[in-house]
Amino acid sequence: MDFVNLVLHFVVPRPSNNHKAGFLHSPVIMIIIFSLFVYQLILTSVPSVLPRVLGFASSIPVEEVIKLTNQKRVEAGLTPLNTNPILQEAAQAKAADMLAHDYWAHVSPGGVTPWDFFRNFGYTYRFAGENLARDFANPSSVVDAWMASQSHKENIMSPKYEEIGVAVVEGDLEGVDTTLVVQFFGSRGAKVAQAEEVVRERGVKPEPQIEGQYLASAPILSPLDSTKGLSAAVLGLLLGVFLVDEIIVYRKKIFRVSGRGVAHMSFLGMILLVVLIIKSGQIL
Amino acid sequence: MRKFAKHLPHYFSLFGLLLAGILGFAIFSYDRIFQIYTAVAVASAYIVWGAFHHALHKDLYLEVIIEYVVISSLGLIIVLSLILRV
Repeated sequence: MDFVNLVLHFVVPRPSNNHKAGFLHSPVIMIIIFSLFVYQLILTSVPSVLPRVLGFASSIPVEEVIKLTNQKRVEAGLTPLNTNPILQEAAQAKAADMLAHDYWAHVSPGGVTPWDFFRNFGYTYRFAGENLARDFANPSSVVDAWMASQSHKENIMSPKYEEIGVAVVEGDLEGVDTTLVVQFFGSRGAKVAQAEEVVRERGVKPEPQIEGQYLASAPILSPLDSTKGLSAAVLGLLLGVFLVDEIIVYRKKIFRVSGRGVAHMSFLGMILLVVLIIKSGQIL
Repeated sequence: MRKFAKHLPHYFSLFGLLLAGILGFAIFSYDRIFQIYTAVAVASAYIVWGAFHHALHKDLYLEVIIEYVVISSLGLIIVLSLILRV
């Protein structure tokens, strides 16, 4: 019986809670805010205690990224880009460098630029470009995200580029199991033959495209999905309690000093929609 | 509920504000900085809306303002925790 009273105290307006559901009292909501904050701190500290528990599940075939990129170009009346094994190697090296030195940027903390990777692999370029992405679930969401960003779209749609190299690499970045996508664009300069010779001399053998090549990772817990789940549960609970509270207050004609329940429900409903809209993945 | 029907024009401005926030998130789905600014702006505007709304209806009290601040803080921390997790 005490348990029932406790539940009613928190979800129904009655004398014991001054005619306002307990969950809707400001101190209780502040406790919820604090709990959400603590949960984020725990999520942030998990990688140092249990490495590779957090991460983003993904399946991104390299050739699919190239195919979708070329599809966008063809739709815009541009010529498709040719896959260049040297650019593939360079993109692979860039992704490996980001994981090795734990950074997410075009330029490494040590000052290594994307163009250094082009040059290191003997790709003498007239024009070169780089798009980066991480934590996307599939290739279409990666390309859609790039197309939604003006600077990345300019790279994809640039008529200056003739060749492309893409690498998809999975690894530990900042303690989280991450899938990196590196997309290199280029058009070669006059010293092409010389550049290819450099690659051969180094013994770098471009790997052929493997049909159906993809990376798949299955971490235990996605930090984004777990945050979304918890947020949706908290919002759902509060929206339900607000609704019950408003109906009872209206029917019993209770007068009280309080904010507008309909306004709060609208605001929290908007937040719930945002929770559902937000997608995983970052581009750079 | 009765207050809602009576003051419907007030709620149009609120719905417009919230709709603008949702559209901002949907359209700029990969622009984290824009999303952070949008979240802070909508949360702040919600407090201002609440203050004006209650002031116009002569039932503005500190307790009410605190309630709007707390609700908007809850919304803000949820949205920011997601944006920074993406």
